Amino acid sequence: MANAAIAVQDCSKRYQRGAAAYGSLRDTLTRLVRGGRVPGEPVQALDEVSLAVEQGEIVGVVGDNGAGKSTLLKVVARITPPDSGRVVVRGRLSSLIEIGAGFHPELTGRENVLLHGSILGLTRRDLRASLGAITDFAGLDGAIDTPVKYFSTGMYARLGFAVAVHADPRVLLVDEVLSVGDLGFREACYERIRALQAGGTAILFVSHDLPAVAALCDRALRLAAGRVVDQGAPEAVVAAYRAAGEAESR
Amino acid sequence: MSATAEGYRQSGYVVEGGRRDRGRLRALWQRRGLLWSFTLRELQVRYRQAALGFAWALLQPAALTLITTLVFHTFLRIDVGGFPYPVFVFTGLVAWTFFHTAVSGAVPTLVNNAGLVRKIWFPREALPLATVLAVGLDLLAALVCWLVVLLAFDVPLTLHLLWTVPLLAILVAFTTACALLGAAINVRFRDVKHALPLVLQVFFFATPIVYPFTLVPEAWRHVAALNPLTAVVAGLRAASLHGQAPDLAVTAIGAAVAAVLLVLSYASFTRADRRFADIV
Repeated sequence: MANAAIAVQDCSKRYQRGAAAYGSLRDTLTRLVRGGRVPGEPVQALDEVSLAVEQGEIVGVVGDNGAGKSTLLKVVARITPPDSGRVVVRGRLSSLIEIGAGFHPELTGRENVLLHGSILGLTRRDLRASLGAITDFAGLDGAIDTPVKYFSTGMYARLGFAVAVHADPRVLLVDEVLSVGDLGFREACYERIRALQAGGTAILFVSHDLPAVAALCDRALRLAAGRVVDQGAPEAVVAAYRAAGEAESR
Repeated sequence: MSATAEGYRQSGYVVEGGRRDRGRLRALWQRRGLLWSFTLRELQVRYRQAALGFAWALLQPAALTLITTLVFHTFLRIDVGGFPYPVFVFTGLVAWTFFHTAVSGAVPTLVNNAGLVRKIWFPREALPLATVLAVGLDLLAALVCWLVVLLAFDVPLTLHLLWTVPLLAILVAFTTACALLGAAINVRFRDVKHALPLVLQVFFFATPIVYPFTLVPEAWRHVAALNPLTAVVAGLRAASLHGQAPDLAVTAIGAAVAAVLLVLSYASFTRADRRFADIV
């Protein structure tokens, strides 16, 4: 625990529901003048969540939509800060939260590898050196100098995945992204994830694909309304989650 | 073991609720490759499939020079102290075009890259800063062009031309400050999109670009001096056309305003940054 690659301690975060998150100056002025408060109930996206992921461990996170899974990943990835609590990440983090989020459609595959890779924190020199390996893994020989706007969804996803895992991250966040590729690609991804795990990477795996969670993870936890309501062996957590879902629908 | 410790120092982090993260400038420096990547992306995208390519960077000030010469010299016969009006106005337009293009390009960057801001952490100031850098390349081209114009109009060049360097520093500092501030406000208030062209237009006429600073009424000069662009434009003209040092008081005020604004805007940008992913 003391040296866990990911340590989340008592993290809480609220969102304001109903309030236009961004708006016009007029709205704000009106609110100021009327003395009114922001409308809508706040949503407790995370409520005193604690978890630790050790090196070489894959921890699965399951739960209904809106349970706080994505917020958890965002807080760990420091995209958004928690209102209270503490997150410690040891080592380079890479995320498969949305494959290819950093791609620009007008640029070629090669240019995008350099762009996306440097957004993920890699140096351009390192990226240029490993361009061949990335192209091979993505299976894009011959297409690497084509603008990615002409790529198929599968090619796009393969290149995004290849850059993200190539970073040799010590910490990897995976959110429901592997569903876009075909079967062969998904197998290759799982294989690569296991290889990273064997090399000591700590992986936080969020998915609705319960068989995948059971098969891939060492541990699992279930979130509901921002709280950790269950954790333990992945088969047990998945079975309990299924049972809870069935009980509710009855 | 020490390799791990080194790696942690380089890339690990601690996030605490309610605390601002420190060492932002250092983080930006460590990610300077990212700044370069964004700059390159901007240049690549800008000139791909544009037939005239880089020439666009010079066409804008050139076209503005023609129009303003026609309106303010031929029609209105404004007195600019005996200098050929095209040289007079082009000197101001070189600085103005940089400011205008950089600020109007940088302000929407965070919103235009909302997908990225919401999904991946990176020093977000890299987005507006990259636009300023990319437009900076246009500025360099325009400056070369400016020197050619000065020579073509037989303006005698003196050592005072070296004042250009500190004057450009004021220009870049003020432009960067406006870019950071505008980009951050634009995330929260989409009014910026409508207000920005208006504000820039006001700035264009408030800065002595199409008219000389000496035409500003005495009583208004200290107000006009608060605009760092005044110091830049008036200074560039003094250093080139007049072959003398810029007005030191005006230059000092401009430099001070630009420096203070730069520090303040960077501080407010990194403060607002915490909420960008939630509201963009």
